[in-house]
Amino acid sequence: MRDKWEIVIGLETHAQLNTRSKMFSGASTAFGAAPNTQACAVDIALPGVLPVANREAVAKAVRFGLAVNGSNAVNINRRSARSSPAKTISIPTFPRAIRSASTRRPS
Amino acid sequence: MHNATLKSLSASLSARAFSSVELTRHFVNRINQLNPKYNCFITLDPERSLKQAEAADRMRSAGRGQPLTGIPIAQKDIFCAQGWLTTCGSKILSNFTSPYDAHVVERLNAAGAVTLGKTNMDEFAMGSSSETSYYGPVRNPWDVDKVPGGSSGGSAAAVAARLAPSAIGTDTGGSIRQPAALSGICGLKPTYGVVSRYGMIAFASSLDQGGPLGRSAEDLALLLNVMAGFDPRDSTSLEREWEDYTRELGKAVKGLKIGLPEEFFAKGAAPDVVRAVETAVGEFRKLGCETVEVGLPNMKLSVPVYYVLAPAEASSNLARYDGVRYGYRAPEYADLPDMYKKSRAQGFGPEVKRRILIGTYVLSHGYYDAYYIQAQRVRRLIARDFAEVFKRCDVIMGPTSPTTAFRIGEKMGDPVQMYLNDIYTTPANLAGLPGLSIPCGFDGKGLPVGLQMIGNYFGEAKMLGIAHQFQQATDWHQRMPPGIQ
Amino acid sequence: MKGGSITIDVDGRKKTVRLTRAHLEEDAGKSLHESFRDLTGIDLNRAGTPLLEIVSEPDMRSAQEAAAYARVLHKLIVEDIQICDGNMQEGSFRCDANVSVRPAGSDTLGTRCEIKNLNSFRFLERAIEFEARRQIGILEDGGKIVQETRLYDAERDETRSMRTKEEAHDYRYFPDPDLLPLEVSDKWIEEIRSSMPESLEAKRRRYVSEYGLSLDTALQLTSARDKAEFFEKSVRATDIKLFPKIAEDIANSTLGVLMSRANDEGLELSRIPITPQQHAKLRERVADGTVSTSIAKEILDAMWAGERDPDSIIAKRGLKQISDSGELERFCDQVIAGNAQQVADYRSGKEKAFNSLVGQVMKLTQGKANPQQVTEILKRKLSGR
Repeated sequence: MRDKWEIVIGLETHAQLNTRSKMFSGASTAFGAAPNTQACAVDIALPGVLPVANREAVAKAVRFGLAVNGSNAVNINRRSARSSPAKTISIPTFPRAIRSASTRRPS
Repeated sequence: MHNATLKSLSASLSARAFSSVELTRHFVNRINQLNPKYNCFITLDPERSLKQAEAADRMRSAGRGQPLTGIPIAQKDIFCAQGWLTTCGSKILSNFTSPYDAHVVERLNAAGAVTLGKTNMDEFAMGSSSETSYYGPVRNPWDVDKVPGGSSGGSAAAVAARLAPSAIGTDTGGSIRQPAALSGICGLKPTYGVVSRYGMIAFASSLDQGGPLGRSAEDLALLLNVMAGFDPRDSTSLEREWEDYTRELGKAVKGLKIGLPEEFFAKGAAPDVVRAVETAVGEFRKLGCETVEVGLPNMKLSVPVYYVLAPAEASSNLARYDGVRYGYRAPEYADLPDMYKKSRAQGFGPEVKRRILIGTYVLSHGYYDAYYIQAQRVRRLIARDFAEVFKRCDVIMGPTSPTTAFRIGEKMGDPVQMYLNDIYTTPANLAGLPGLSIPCGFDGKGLPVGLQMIGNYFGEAKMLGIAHQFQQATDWHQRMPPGIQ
Repeated sequence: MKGGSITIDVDGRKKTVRLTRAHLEEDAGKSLHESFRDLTGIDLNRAGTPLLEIVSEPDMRSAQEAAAYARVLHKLIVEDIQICDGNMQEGSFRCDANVSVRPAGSDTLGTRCEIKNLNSFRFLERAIEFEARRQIGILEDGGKIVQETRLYDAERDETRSMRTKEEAHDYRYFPDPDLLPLEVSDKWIEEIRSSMPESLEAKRRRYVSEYGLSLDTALQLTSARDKAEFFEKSVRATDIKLFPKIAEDIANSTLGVLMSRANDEGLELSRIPITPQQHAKLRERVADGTVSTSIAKEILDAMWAGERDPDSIIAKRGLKQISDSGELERFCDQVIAGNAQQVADYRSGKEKAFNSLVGQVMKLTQGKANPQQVTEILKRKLSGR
C-alpha cells in the first residue's frame, strides 16, 4: 500500500528566542514567574502604548539566517489576527490582536 | 485673567501677581459655570488640578519656575494621564483610568503645568465636528448651534470660550487646525515625529501628531517647546537637537515667498472664506512678502487617499478594544466570540465602526493592492508635489477649511460630506509636514475663518514667526466670541 | 530571511531540506484551563516573547525525515548558534507539521492537514505516521481529504480534527506604521557574523567548498564542535598550497585513527595527547614523502605515548622513508635473488606472489621503503628489463 503513495511533509517551527526582553517591549522573558507579572503596558496593549523592536531578537534571527545560508533583510509587517471582513476572531491571549512579524526579504 | 495669553500669564506668575492656585481656581470656576453650555470637558477634577497648582507654586518659590509652570492646560481626552479617566470620547473606554502618563503629559508635568481637565472630542479622533463623541457634541462658543470643528473640538472650544488659556490636541487629518479655524483660535500640527505619540491613543499611526492650541502664535511656541522632543518609547519619534520655537517670532517677513496653490482657491471653498484668506494674504504683501502661484496637482486625491490609509491603520489600532483587559465589556453574552462582538458593537459609535469596516476592507486579500498599496503610492506623489513647491516658496498659505462652522447635525447624515471638510488639511498629514491655522477674519454670519500655513519639514519656528508678525499687524486672534467677557 | 537549507541524515542517506522563509513574531499568552472552575485563566507573561518562525519547503518524504529535520534544526539553534534554549517541555520549540499524500510519481500536491503544537520528536514522528496512514486510508476508500487543523493525541496515538481550516485565514498584512523598517546593514551583519562562533552548519558548507571535502566527511567532522575545531586547527597549521590534498588527509586521519584511539581511551578530541599542530606536521611528512603511511602509524603511537614532535621521532628512530632509487633497486635485487620461487610464481601469472615480494622488500627495509617506488621497480625488473 505504501509504495503506491508518497507522503509530503513540510514543517513550521516556532522557536522562542532567548533574549532578555520581549519582542516589542522591555518586559522580562524569564520562565516561571507568577501569572501576569511579566506583562507590561505594551504587552497587554493598553491604549496609547507603542511597540519598540528588540534589536537583540533581530540579531539572533540574523544569526540563524547566516547559519542556514539564507538571504538577510528586515522588513516589519503587521499582521492582524482577524479572518474575513465579515467575521471577527479575536484571541484573548493576543492582546494587541495584531502580530507584528518581520519578514526578511532579500536585500 | 482668562483673556490673558499664556505668555502674559506666565509673566504674571513669575512676577507673583497671583499664584497658580488662584489662576487655576479662576478657570475651574469659569468651567463650572460655562462648560454645560459648550460641553468642552469630559472629565474634571478640580481637587487634583489645584493640588498640581500648589506644587507649581512651590516649584516657583524654589526658584525652579519654567515658562509653563503653574499654567492650566486643557488636555484632549486622547492623552493618557495617570489616574485620570481617559475615554477618547468613546463608550468603550468610559471606565478606563489610565495607569500611566503619555510622554507629552510627562513633559507638561515636569514643566510644572496644571492639568485643567480632559476635553471632549470626536470618538477616537474620528471626525471633523466633535459630534461623534459618546459624551455629546461640543458647541461652538461663537454660536452654540454650530460645531466647533473636530476632532479636537473640546480643546478648541475651551480656549475660544476662555475656559483655558491653552490646550493640547491631536491632528491626523486636520483635527487641530480645522477646529482652531472654526473656533477662531490658533492651532499647530508639528512635523511628523517631533512630538512623541507614546500615550496618545492611536488612531492612524503614520498620520497622528500631537500639538498645541492657543490664542496666539507665541503661546503655541511656548507650548511646543515643552511638548516636542525625542522619546525612545516611540520608534517614530525623531532624535534631534532641542529647538527654541520662539526664536523667530521677532523676525521680519519682508521678502518672504508665499506659495498660493491654485487647488486651495478653486471652487469648493465658500466665498466668504476665500475672501477673508485673500485679505489676509494682502496683509502679508503689505508686510513685504511676495506671493507666487504654485500647483499641487495630486492634492485632489488627498481625501480619498486619507480615507483609505487612516481607516486601515485604525482598524488595526482599534483591534485591541475587546472588553477583556480594560474598557467596556458587554453585560450579557453567550460565549467569548459573542462577548467580543457585543462589547465592540455596543462600545463603538457608528463612525468608528464605519472606519473599522473600511479599513478592514481595504486591507483584505484581493483589495490590498487596489486600495492600500495604491493609496500609499499616491501618498508619495502628494509629498513629492510639496517638495517641488518648496523649491519655489518658503511657506504655503490657503484656507484651513472650505467652510466656516456648520450647524450641529447638518453633515452627520452624509459621511462623505463630512470627510470633504478635510480637503485642505489632510495633505500636510499625508506628507508629514507642519501645518498651522490662525484666525484671519469672519464670514457674513460672524463665524471665524482660519488661515492655514503649511511649511517645509521642521519649519515650525519659521511659521510661528510669520504668524506672529501677522498677529502684530492685525487683531483677529484677539477677538472674543459674543457673550464671552 | 528567504532561502537557506538544512542537511539531514536518515539511515545514512543525506538529504537537503530547503527553507522557505524565517521571520520574527511575538508569542501569544497562555490559556490555562485547570484550577479554574468553568473559567479559563489567561496568563500574559508569555505574550510578546520573540518567536522565530521557520518554515520549510515540503521537502520531507517520511516521518523519519521530518523528525530528523526537527532534531537537526533543534541542535542548530540550541547548541550551535545558541539562540534558543530549546526546552520543548516549556514550549520553547514547537513544531507544526503539514502533511499530505499523493500517488507515487505525481507532481501535484494533495490536500494537506496541519498537525499543530508537536512538542517532542517522538510525537512528531508518530503523529505524522498516523496522519499519513489516515489520509491514505481515506483516499483508498474513494474519499476526499478535508483541509483542516488537527491535534495529536499521544495517549491514543492518533490525530484529531481541531477545526475546519478555512481558506487561508485572511490575515491582513501591512507595514507596521509604529515600527520603522529595521535596517539590517551589511555592516551589522558582519558584526553579528564575526561575533558569533561559526555554526557547524556553516563549517560543513565551508569544508566542502573551501577544502574540497566530500559532504559525508564534512558532516562527520561537523557532527560535534570539538571534531571540527581539531580538524580546522590542524589544517590551519599546514600550507595547503604546498599540499593541496592535505585537508582530506587530515580529515580522514582525524575521523579515523585519532577518533578511534580517543574513543578507546574515553577522551574528547580536545584532550588527546596530540595537538592539532603536531598532527598536521605528521601528515605533512607523509604528504611530502618523508615517511610512508605505515611508518606514520608508528610515529603516531610514539607521539601519543608522549614523544611530541614527529620530526625528532623520525630522526631518532631513523624512520625516514627510503626513496632513493639506487638504494631501492639494490633492495629489490636482493629480494628477487633470494625468492626465486615467488618470482617464478609471479611470472607464471600468480598476482599474489608479487605482493609477497613487495612485502619482503618492506620487511627488509623495516617498512621504510617507499611502497609506490618499490612496486614500480619490482614490476620493471620482473618483466624482464
